[in-house]
Amino acid sequence: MATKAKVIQSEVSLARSAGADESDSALARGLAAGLAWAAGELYDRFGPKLFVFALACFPEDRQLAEDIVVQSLAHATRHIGRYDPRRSALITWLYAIARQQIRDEVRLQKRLKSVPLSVQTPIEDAAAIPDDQDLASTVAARVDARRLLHRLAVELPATEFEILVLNSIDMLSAKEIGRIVGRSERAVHSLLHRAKRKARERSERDE
Amino acid sequence: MSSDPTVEKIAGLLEAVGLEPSRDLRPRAIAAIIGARAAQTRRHYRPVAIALGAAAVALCALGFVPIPLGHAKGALDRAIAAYDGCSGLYIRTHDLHEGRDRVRETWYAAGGLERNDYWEEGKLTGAYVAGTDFYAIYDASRQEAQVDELPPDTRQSSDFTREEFLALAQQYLESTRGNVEEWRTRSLWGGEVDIIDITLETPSQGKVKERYETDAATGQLLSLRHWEWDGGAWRLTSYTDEVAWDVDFPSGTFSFLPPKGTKVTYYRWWGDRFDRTVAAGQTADWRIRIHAIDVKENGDMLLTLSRYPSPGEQQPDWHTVAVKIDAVDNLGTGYHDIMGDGRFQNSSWVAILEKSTSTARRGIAQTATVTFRFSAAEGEATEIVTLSDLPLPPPRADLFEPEVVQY
Repeated sequence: MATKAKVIQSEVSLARSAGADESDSALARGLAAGLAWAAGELYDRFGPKLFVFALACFPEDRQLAEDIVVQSLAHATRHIGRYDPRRSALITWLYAIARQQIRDEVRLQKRLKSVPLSVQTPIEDAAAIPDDQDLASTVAARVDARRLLHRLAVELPATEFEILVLNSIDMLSAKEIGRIVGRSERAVHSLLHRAKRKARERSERDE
Repeated sequence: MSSDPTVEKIAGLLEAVGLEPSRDLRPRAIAAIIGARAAQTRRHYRPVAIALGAAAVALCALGFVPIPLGHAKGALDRAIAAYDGCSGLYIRTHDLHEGRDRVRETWYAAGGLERNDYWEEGKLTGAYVAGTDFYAIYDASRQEAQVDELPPDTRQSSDFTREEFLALAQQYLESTRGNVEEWRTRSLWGGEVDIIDITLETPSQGKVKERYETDAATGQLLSLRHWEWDGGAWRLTSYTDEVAWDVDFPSGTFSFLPPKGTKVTYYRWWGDRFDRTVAAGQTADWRIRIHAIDVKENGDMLLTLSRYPSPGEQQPDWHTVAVKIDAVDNLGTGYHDIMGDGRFQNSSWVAILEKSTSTARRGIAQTATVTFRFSAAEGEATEIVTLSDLPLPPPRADLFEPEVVQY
């Protein structure tokens, strides 16, 4: 097992210089083989990205965004045999899984909660702000950004919002975003255009 | 990343929210990844395939194997239509996951009633009940339950079962883009049965396959099986072994009686608010009624209200055109509706009005009043309702607290 682990790990190092696809493939094999280093590699490469995506959808609940990252990575690991590196990059596949987890959560919240989450969730995590930053202004900016994101998430249709966020946080092509949200490349262009227009109009109204 | 100002703005908002996860996330995620891998059980499909093959040979010999009769056009449409007028449906499903067989019993009845009981190794592990005016989730291992009650006049009146099924079928049809195969079989003992095979590929689940067997004459579902592609073979992940139509359910099926020892959290956030009317107003087209005004500790306002689609209508409607809400108190502080125009399209009964930045301070003994302005967001732009000088209560910390009962 140790030799196998070494071989796959060296493949990852080589693949990094060769390109993302080979690297994804080697990581997927490492996960499928149950190799311990692969878990750290999976989180380090993709965990923070998934967190930003989940946080954009639940800007007022960082804990929930983190839960979605954990669930998504665990789900991906359980089903790593289904990942085909010839068809998509690993990040595309992981975003699709995270999107499904987010949608399930949204459905659950809609069904269970009559009072919106924003009423129940207090302002938190001020302690996480570094000492060298102005606490008051950072908290104010954070609260404001949360509110604006929450408003966008509520006002835009879910798919439009997801496409807008994916376009904003990662260098994904329309084709890749299409794979994540289950739409054609052309449809992604059209939905993105619509989402941007609505976001711009909302922003202009606010100003 | 991009020169598009909208994209840059979204990226800026995300940055302001704080892109760094907590320090706990990495170890949590890694533990979950390792745990997920360790929990993988060995693949059983090979012995299962051998067993199924042997069973098929035996069934052939006995004459049970259905004979294909050709294409059954419209079988899926008939299956969907069969839900119209169904008074009660019972389904028992086996979910096969990580070597375990979990049984789910589901009861559906017209009017949105639903109950799911979950069993494992003969023991009840949990339940989900959607009654006429509540949703309940019961976790037997923790002896805990959560009951979300629905405010008056907001209860489901439609046939939820049918709507859910139609939505599901529609979703399948959209995602399959034609990957639906319908064919008819006849067997010695089962009569004519339509088979509907739906194959689709989703980014999260990979390739999945559903097989519905329906009565060729009535379209009623007889069985349902679900497979997932496991890298080299189809793996059965769930199947039904009992489906009963037009069942008369015993009374109490759609109620929730917590077993002794259960801690139940009831969410009845509205209290008696819907019984009260603080103020009301109307336009030529619609009516608005404020039931309660509450103020949070931070000064934000929570407004419980109903909107009626016409002045004479008694039943509130939460899915009509959006309404904008603005408010200002007698000290000049403005309040802004953070849900914006989406309010009534999102079925909220409470408007959250955030207090604008203001230098005004309210003393504890100082009386305050507030004036609201409701205006239609679109289509009825000239119609405005203004409700003036309503008393603004002092801030409270204990608003919308759930009630916990230990049985």
